[in-house]
Amino acid sequence: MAALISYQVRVLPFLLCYLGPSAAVLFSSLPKTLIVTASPSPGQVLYAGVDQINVTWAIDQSQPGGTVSAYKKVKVSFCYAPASQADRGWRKTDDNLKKDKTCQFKITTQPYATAGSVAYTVERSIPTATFFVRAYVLDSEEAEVAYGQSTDAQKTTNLFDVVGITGLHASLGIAAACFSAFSVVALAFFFVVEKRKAKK
Amino acid sequence: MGDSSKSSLQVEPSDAQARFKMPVDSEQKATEFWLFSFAAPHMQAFHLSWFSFFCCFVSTFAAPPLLPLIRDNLNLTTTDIGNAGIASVSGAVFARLAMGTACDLVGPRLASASLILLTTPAVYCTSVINSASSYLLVRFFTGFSLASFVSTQFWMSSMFSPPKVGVANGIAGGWGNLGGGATQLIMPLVYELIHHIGSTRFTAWRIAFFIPGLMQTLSAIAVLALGQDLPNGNYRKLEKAGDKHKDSFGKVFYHAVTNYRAWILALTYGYCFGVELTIDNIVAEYFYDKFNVNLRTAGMIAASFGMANIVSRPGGGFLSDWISTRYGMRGRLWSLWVVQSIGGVLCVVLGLMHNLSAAIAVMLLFSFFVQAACGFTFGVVPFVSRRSLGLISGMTGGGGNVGAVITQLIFFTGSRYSKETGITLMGVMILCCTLPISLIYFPQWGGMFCGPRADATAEDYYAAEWSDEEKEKGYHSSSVKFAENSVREGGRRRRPSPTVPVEATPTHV
Repeated sequence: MAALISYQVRVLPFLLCYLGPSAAVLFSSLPKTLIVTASPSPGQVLYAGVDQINVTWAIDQSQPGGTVSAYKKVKVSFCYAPASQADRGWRKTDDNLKKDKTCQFKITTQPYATAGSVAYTVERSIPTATFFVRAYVLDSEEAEVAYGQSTDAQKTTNLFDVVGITGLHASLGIAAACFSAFSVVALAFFFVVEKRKAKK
Repeated sequence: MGDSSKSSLQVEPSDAQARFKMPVDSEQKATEFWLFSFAAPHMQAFHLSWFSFFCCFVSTFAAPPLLPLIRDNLNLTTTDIGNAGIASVSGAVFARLAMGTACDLVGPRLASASLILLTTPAVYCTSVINSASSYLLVRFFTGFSLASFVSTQFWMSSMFSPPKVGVANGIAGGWGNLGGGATQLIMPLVYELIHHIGSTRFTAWRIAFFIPGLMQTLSAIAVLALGQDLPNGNYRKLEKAGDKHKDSFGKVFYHAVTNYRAWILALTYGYCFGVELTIDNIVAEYFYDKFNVNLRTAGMIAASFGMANIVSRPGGGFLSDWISTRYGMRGRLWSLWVVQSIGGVLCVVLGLMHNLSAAIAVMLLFSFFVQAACGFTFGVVPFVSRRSLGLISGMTGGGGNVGAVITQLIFFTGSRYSKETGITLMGVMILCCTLPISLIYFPQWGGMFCGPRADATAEDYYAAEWSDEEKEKGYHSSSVKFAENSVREGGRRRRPSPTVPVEATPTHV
């Protein structure tokens, strides 16, 4: 019996490891150790699939950071500005980064260096909205340990707009019109046939 | 499903019987229900009507599973989405009333096919919308197609005899409502296929809408080509030949709105079917937000709610018919009240569940009871009126949609209530609005708490809808036949019913 219990006690830590990091990473606990600049000027409009932006980031030497040795990767994303989050619960900001839905579009993930940059063509899957750019520093377990963003803490400055593709094509309109017309004509056809049959 | 108590049913003369593969009663309505047969005209009408109604449900609820794409493409807010959800079910409120009248006047085949074909342009045009207002408009017009429910029920009531009308209505209605669940699986699958072939996200969802549109068009054409209003033929032909009297809208309308039972059933149907529509619109989002499941899982949970309709609503119809063999109309009314009330209790409990598996289990139970209540409701509706059957089916159906509009407006718009509180309060409202069933009373068969009057007959009840002049001209002949075939709604009279309440008048033996 004692052997069984001690076996379970030994197995438990292994199980906990497989469960993954148990503490949730809170955004408010992250140090802002990166300076991130994005090329669009404030209020600039970018067209999805067409326009390009340049994002540069660098370690902020003046900030007391976390353990730099833990910095392994940098993940840069487009994040929704508050104006595009209003009345849209699926884009809500949550302090718990597992539940946070602010940053939904990844631009790039690169191995950590004290400075980096990326040239990015706005993908066609990006919707019409107002954005800023944020970079998270990840550790070896892909958990966020620091961040930087192109806007201020209230997310009011340096925002830019993206105009997404509509997804419309002329062929869609033509097909919709044809099928609709076919439905109505089919109905009219049967009505006429009915009237003729009733007359006989 | 053979029925042994045929003494109440008139046996057809053999030459008329020989015309039909199925056994029929004096109105040529089928007295049996063969689910896997396509025997014309009865079972053929069944399959045509349930499938075309299924396609309407698929189209009406095609947008919710693709909302994560549509809301980004069109830059929608939660308010826009909520308003469109309400719009999708509000169009059918009046469309169902109009449909009921249309069925009474031109027959279910033309009425349903016209409605379905005229709403398909809204489905096709969903692929070219580009704003919140156009999204609301297409959902509004597509939702009109839900009025084909009325023609389904009317058609089944015209094709199947009273002992089988409950199960026919139940399966036709249930398998149609199934579309609301099936679409939550179909649309994401179609979208992923198209996206995989090469379209961008924002084009693929648009192309996906052609599938429900095509399904709708083709099923309506099948109804026109293969369907038939009555066992003997179509309305126009019969009217021209003088076999069927063309009724007047005013009279049909009057006899529907003055029948209080129609209003009570319209109210109570809002709290089984209306609640079902509301849940179709909100359940995926509810599970996604509260339990943090991913979109595909939320879609599957949402689908399982609607898919319960395969057996739950037909089960309600079947049980209604079965209970009426022992306890007649009183049994139908009691069982309707019990089942719908249990549904209300489960709705209250669903909002209180904080554990995912418990919530799914309660939701599945809830779906069975609330959908069975729909089946039980339409076990009673065919008996409320014979002359205005279409309009009363329409009133009940329309009432269902009103319930959906009201519950979404009160509990699920804006941030007054959290979704789980909204669900619990909706359950309380179900319990309150189900109580009026106790007020329904048929003089010839009784009500929940009162037995029948000794001198009342079904013939008197249905004949009262016709004036003396109309009776002299024989216009009421189908009502008389219906009354004869409904004798079984009196329940078993060979021995006293064990559930007679002490305070009620004794049923006459």
